[in-house]
Amino acid sequence: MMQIETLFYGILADWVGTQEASFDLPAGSTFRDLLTAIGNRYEQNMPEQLWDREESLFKSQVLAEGRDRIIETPQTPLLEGERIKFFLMLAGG
Amino acid sequence: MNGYHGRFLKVDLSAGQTQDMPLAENDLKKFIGGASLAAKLIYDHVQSGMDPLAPESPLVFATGPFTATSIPMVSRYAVCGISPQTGYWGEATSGGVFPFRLKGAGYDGLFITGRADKPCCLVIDPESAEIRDASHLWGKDIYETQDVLKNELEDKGFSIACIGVAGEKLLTYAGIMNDAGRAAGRCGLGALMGSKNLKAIAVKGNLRPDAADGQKMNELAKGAAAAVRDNMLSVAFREYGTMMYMDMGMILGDAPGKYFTKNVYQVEAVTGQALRQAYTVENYACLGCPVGCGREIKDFKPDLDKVDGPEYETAVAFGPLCMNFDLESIIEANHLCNAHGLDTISAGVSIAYAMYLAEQGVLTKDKAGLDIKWGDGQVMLKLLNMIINQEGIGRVLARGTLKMAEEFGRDPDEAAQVKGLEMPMHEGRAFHGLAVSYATGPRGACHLKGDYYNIDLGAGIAEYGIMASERMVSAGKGGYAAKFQSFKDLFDALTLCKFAPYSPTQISQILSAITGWEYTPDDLLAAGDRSVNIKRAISNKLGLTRDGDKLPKVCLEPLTEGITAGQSPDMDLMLKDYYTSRSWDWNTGKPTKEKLNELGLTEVAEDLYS
Repeated sequence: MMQIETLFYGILADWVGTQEASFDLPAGSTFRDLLTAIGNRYEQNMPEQLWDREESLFKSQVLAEGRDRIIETPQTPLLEGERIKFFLMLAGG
Repeated sequence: MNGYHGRFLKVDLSAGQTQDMPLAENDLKKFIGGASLAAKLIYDHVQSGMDPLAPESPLVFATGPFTATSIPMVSRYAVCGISPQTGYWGEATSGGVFPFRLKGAGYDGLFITGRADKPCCLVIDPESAEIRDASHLWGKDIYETQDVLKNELEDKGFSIACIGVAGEKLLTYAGIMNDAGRAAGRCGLGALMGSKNLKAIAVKGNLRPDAADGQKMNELAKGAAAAVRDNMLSVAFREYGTMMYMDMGMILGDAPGKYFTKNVYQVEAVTGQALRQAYTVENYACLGCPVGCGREIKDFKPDLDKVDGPEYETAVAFGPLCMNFDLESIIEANHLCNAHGLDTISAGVSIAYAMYLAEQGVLTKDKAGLDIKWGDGQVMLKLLNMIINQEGIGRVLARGTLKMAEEFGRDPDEAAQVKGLEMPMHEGRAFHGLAVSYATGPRGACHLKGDYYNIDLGAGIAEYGIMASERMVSAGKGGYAAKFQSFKDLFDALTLCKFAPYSPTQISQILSAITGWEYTPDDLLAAGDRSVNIKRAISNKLGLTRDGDKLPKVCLEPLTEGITAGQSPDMDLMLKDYYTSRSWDWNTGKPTKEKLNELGLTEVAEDLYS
């Protein structure tokens, strides 16, 4: 098993329902597995414009910043003990 | 004529006369409406060296073809003229009910010249247009002005735009307010209105020009409503207002702090979420808008049961930019600016500069009359009152950062402005495309004509090939920034809210259905290009050269911490790219004669090169 820490910033934290969460995933898990785990735990909190319930991923532009890298594809393998920060990429005002 | 009444109301306040001003169909086709049409109408009146506050200097209020239609997010108007703040082309927009009522009165806009011999107001409805005495309103704040005038008119159908004390006193960054606290804040157009002794404009009516294809327009309106509904930004704005971006802006290095010298700070106390937790907050929506990004705060203080809530720009300007994290003082500063009709951006930046100068030992307690320190919300409010009342050091702060630098013998590169208009609350060091937009924006430093942060955060315009790229890279940005600026300039011609998430194809289809004239996405972009160029030509006539297209050092010097540490946009590289893309002359800063002719601005070309 591998432990992944997640941090949700700004209004994303409000919509996910937490600022941080920890997930235990099987060794060799990918970013897709993490998204599925996030969906399983929090999708009931998230507005439909934010979360795709069928595909189990963020619909909107959400930046995932891992250990010294930006995670760009669901197939990206996760690193043991990685902390992943999520930012909603919306600006305005 | 479909989509338009085909006329402005021409008002000569010196002569006390009003008359119809017919609009040429060809001008409407080319300039569409709003600020672009205003530029076309103003161009012929602009003389080199013209005093913005001279009686002959025109003040134009303009709606667009989308105003008062079933399309969501269109209840906006533009106010335009020579900016008393910059001395060049000036424009500001605002939303609310006023745009619907102005068009509802049977006019596409107002063209106002002259100066009344005493304070006056305009009262316009479908049956009449009158210039009335407003001496009794002079000196009143904008809320009281609107209340008193509405009571006198004994008709709740009127919507009012007016100036506060700032406009009356010709304060260089006075704005025009409408529908309680909605602001056309930038460029000092409230001073232009004040110079005409025009305190208020009351409009009423429900006249709507026919659409060429009403059924098609209504179908397209449904598609537009769906686009708004499915848009995450709309959801975020509805819930938290534009302040939803406070913390993200800080994380991205986009929200400036400590007079543009810092971008890492404790933002938690001044976010949209914090506002909702601390106060009872309700939404304010412009007429027909399903988003409602505006905020109204209930039970703010015992003597203020309801105040308009701050927007993102205001919250940063009176917040982190002054290192002030006291939400109450930010709300109060916003209320003061609204009540007296002041641009919150220029006011906040000027006060932050005063704090910077105090830290540098320039603005001492003896000189200022009070001890100015970073983060002191109460001192910030005192300074704001001194600006409004033109007292002591407030008289200097009221003239903006460029004049402040001059007054205190400082390097003008310390003044956070472009062409005299103070910098908005987005960082060119965080988004290089924004830096070149600021340098070249039609009205000076403007975050709305080219909000490039949206592009580089993923909201590209695929139809125009303007796509996200590395946000802190300068290479290749100038040309795209020019194209995007033209697209966003068009929103103020249509008078469409900048937050409307419509594609160029959607917009061109809507415009075609309303007017009956066929527009393609390329036609739209050409109209935006034409608009930017005629505004530029006005500023050129008033003396603008390439020297004005620059960012001050204080907004370019690399910061030492945060995600943008070490970053500084390559302005020369981007400007050259921008100039090439626009076909502007590198030596004179003017659009080339060939470019103007290509855009159908033949008369402008002849005039500018005569």
